[in-house]
Amino acid sequence: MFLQVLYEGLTMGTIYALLAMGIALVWGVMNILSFSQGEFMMVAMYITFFINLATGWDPLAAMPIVIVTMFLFGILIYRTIIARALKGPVLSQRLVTFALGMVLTNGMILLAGGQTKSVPDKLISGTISLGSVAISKEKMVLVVTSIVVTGLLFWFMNRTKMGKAIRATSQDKEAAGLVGINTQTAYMIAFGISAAIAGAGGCAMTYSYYFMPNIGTNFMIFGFIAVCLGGFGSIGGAFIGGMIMGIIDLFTGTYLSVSYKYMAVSVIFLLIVTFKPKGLFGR
Amino acid sequence: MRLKSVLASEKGFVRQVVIVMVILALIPAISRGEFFVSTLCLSVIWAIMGIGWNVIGGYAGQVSNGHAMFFAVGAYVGAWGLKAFHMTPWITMWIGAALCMLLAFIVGWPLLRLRGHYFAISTMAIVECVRIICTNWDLIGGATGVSFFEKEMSPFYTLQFQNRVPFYYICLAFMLAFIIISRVIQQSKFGYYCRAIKANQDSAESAGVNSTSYKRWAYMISAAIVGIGGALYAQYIQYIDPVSLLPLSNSMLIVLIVVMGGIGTIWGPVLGAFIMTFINQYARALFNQLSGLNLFIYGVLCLIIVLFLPKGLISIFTNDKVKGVFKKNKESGKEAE
Repeated sequence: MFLQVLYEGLTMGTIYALLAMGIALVWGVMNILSFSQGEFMMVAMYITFFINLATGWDPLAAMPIVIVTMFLFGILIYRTIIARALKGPVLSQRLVTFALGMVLTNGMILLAGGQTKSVPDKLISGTISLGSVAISKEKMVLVVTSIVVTGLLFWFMNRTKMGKAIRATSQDKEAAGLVGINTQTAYMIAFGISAAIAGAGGCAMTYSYYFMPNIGTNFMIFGFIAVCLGGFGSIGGAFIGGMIMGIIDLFTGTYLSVSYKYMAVSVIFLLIVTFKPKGLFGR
Repeated sequence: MRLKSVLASEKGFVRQVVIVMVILALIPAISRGEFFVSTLCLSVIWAIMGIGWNVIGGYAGQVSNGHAMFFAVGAYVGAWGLKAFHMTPWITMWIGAALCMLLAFIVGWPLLRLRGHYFAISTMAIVECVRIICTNWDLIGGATGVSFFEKEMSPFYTLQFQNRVPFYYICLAFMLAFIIISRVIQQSKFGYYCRAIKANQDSAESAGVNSTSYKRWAYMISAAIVGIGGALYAQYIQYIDPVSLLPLSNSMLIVLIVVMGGIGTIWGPVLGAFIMTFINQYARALFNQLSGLNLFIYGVLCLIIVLFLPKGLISIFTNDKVKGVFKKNKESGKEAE
């Protein structure tokens, strides 16, 4: 039982982690609290769904297309909306992403209807049984995706020139500009990558979850909390924060009460923030 | 004597109040259509909540994303007072406001030390807690909510009117009171301290401003005003449940209305509330076949206004291009600062 709950907690945690890493990237680089990250995930789910509907491709096969589409979509959003909002006050930036989320959710309701959808006939399905633990293969897809995405993100941020440029820009925009980094491009790529992470997450989530247009708003707050647990804009912190959230979520849900499990997450977050105002791993 | 001198120094403001109030009071004469008057009432209620949020978010610069909590507390107290104890909202709304202040005092103690995004996210987490408590607490209706339409008692006792015109005037009176309170706060020493904290908390503190205390007072006043807005809303809608009162979007809509109107200004929240409520209500009525289109339009409009008018719709009036009563106020405001 304990191991089963732990496994389910880790799968839940990977969803929060994928969401939180996208938020943390935008937060760390351009100091925007992005309310549209959950909606990006929702858009990715629907792109997967439409690809599946049109060509019958499995979400796994569609994943590269979804990731690239979401990357380009992120860049489009950055160029049309975020770049302009960055010149305004901080509050406007936050509200712009909230309004964008509203537009995306309701645009999707117009386009696809408000009913719940799911992708039929998955390539990988069934369960592996390891003693008392039943591991669902569909959820395994999510875990593997999350680990691969996190690994790639770390490699990109630490090893490539662009990643280093993004990190430099997030530390000090003016100084980065002085040493010849194109900060506008760095911002744009960072926003695109954040949308691409949402793309990978959304695509993998269609493997084991139903979805509807307003799914994004439901777990938005938990993405924020995961980022805060990790601390200011730190991507590794966001990953660990997401995992902690998933485990708290499942353990309180199983052993205490299902209806109060989200409250446990919020209360633990509030306690941590009260005593460590910069998060668990914040500087 | 003192009142006279205050009135003399506030000439511009008094003129604005008289003009706006006369216009708003005469609007029901144009049309007494049920839908039109309902939308007016709703606009005034949202304006009250906007004015309330503006105290902490606009003046003190602490952007709370959790004012739906106070809205809901006000609404629940009003609803239960009437349903369970047959108490008039005229009394329960003050109980609700006091409860909101108490809640703000308790919640503000740890939260107001946080800054920026952390404060916003924590307020959201608190609302999430309140939502879960309200959903699971069967004593106050649980997930099904409370419906409390009272036919036997006088509408002036229950504030539930068949014809909403008197209710509109009652709400308008409250709005007038809160506008005056808002102006008093803005012009007082307290308001200056709040703005100093907004501009730079560290330098305000080093100049001897007790920022924790002032932020807490601003948060409590703001909570009380929003609580009264919630009580009025409960009597307006006559049915409340956690799903309609406490989603994240409700807290954000309060912020959105203030920012669209003009953050930190007296008339911004009022302007924002009227324009956005009318657009939302009429778009919903017009496109009721296409679900989602009304909020889609609303979202696009918000995007455009926030991107192209960062100081809000009120900046159209205060701009030098348009001369009028509002411009005078801007000048006198500059002198005062």
